[in-house]
Amino acid sequence: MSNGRVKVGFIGAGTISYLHELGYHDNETGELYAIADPAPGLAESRKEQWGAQKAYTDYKALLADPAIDAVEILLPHHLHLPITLEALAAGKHVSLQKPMAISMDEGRQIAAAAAGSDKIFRVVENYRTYEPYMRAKAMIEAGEIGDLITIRVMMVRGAGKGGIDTPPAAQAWRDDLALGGPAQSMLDYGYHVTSIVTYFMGPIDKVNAMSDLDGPEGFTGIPAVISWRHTAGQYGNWNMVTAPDMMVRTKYYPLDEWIEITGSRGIIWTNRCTGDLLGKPPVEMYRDGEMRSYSDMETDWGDSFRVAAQNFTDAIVNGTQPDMDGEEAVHALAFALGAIKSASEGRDVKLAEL
Amino acid sequence: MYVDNPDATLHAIADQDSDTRAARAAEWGVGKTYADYRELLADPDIDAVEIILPHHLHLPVTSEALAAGKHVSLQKPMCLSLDEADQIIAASEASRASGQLFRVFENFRSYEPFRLARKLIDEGEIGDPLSLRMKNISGHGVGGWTHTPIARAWRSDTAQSGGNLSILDHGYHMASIAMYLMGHVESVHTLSTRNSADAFPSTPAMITFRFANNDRLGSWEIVRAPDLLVRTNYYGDDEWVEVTGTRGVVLVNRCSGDMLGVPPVTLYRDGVTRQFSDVELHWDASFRDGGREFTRAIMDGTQPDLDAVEAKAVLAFCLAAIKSESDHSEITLNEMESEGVTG
Repeated sequence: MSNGRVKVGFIGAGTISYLHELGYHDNETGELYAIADPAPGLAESRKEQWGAQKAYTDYKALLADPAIDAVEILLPHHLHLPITLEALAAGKHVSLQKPMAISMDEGRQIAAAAAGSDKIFRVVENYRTYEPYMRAKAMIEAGEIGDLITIRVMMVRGAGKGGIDTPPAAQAWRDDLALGGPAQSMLDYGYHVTSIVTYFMGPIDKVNAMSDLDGPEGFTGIPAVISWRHTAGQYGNWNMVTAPDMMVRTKYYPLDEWIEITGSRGIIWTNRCTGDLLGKPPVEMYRDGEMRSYSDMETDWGDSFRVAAQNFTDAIVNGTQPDMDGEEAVHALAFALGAIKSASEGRDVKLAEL
Repeated sequence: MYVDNPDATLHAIADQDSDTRAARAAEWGVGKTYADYRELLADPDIDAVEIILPHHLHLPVTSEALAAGKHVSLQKPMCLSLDEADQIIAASEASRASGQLFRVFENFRSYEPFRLARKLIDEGEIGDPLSLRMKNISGHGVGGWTHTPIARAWRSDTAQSGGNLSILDHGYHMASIAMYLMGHVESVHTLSTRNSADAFPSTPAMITFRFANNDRLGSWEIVRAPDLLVRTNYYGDDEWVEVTGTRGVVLVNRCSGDMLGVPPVTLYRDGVTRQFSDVELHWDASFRDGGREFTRAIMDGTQPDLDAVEAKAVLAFCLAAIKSESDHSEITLNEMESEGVTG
């Protein structure tokens, strides 16, 4: 932090790194300082493209660089545990891309290491910094819809119109169970949903999932319908479907979500996220016979990565804990893995049994 | 149902309560009233009956009405158990030989926004339907009906109503509309905190289900929001249904209430959102249209929707959801065949 800004190194320069890099364009507390990736020439070309200072082919060399304060770990899922542990041991603050890990044991090891470190650790799940969701959360906390009762989530995976072109390499490791983990719909993509549901409604007590856990390569576990009970007595459900001929207008991935939260007095909807399928205002609320539409916010999904990076570097400067801490990240992981276990065993799964 | 019905007149009313009888007869201009429904069934002028009774009477009175040679329209829910449903199926099949019609009447299937949704699906507007989401929300009704103490009393008696009104009584509408839009259901799972002291004990509930013979899945939320204002001419609740297909999404945005004040049907496809408002919105029109279908079918000698077998499948869906709630496991409709009366 020689110039007052946190020096951040990216470990991993694959597809998702483009989105994380958005967080360092106008970041007054942090800069993208170094990039590590083993692919020949990749880190170097990213460094040039993004105006970073250093490129490494070995992440260990990046971790050994004393100029670096913090790292963003943007790697295949099976590497999340070992490299998080190494990074914390090397004295770096860590932002770990979702999903936290591919097993409860791994997730708990990460959380324990984070708790035992004086460095900041967080899992970054960018839906929590997507402005329509932050707005909905603020409205809930202001009591706009009374006491929370239920939540419903719909996800449609369609055919893209615009958006990110996912390269075969990004698909290949996801198809490998040992690298990507099981049921991408619930663990990889699904971690967004388990994170945002717990963000709105609090922790989960038990879950049921109906899915054959098959589906397209790189995205198994779809179609699915999942239901759960929250520890505080609320309920939720989540339908997921692949609609191959559905046009999804998007700058990013050709999928979209809409969420409905019912309280004792009113209802809040978020009508878009990654895509812009329905063309509706991003947030709506019904209460007391009145329907209100809210469009006074940033709806570009990429902006959620900017906010997330800003939160990370701000927290390092301020010495505070950014969202999500290890415990909360483990809970979102348990929700995802509980759903997968339920689908495979055909029974309700209490998260406490994991 | 019988106002301006070209095929039928409301000829007689049977009710045990003399004040009710007289009041209804005067209000509707009906010439004949009976204190005993058996006398009504014995009246040779009467071709058909609508059975609109507490649920435990559906089986015996249907059986008697069919035996008396009347066509029968039986108000939902069909009855209280699959065993009762089988008896109704047997009775309706026996009387079909003499040209008598039987149907269960579930009016959501005659509600125009649902019919439009079904038409859009049938015409391929959303491709192959894949996912169904339904919501039944009850709140603080403004502008609608007030339940009479009598209607509350028998419903609160499990022996008469079958109990669990949220899934069996109101739920019969939802199960019916799920099958109307997406086909038969194979298995069902219910997550709720059951409060058996409540007439609508499974609230909130999250019911999920698999449709038969394909990858189609559905969810059904039941929620009560006590301070939620629901503008309505009927009950203080509303229903929304969303069907997602391979190519598009169709949404039905209202039913018995008019809570959201948005167009009743929305279709998304190919980047275009269409709103349909050129449909009959009044929920009571579904009773009118449903009544006319019954009398038209009698005139034409055709079978109206829902026949006894289909009506039993709807009932099995509801009963499986109730069983799942207490068993805490997914229940197939096939295994319901060996089950007795629900509680």
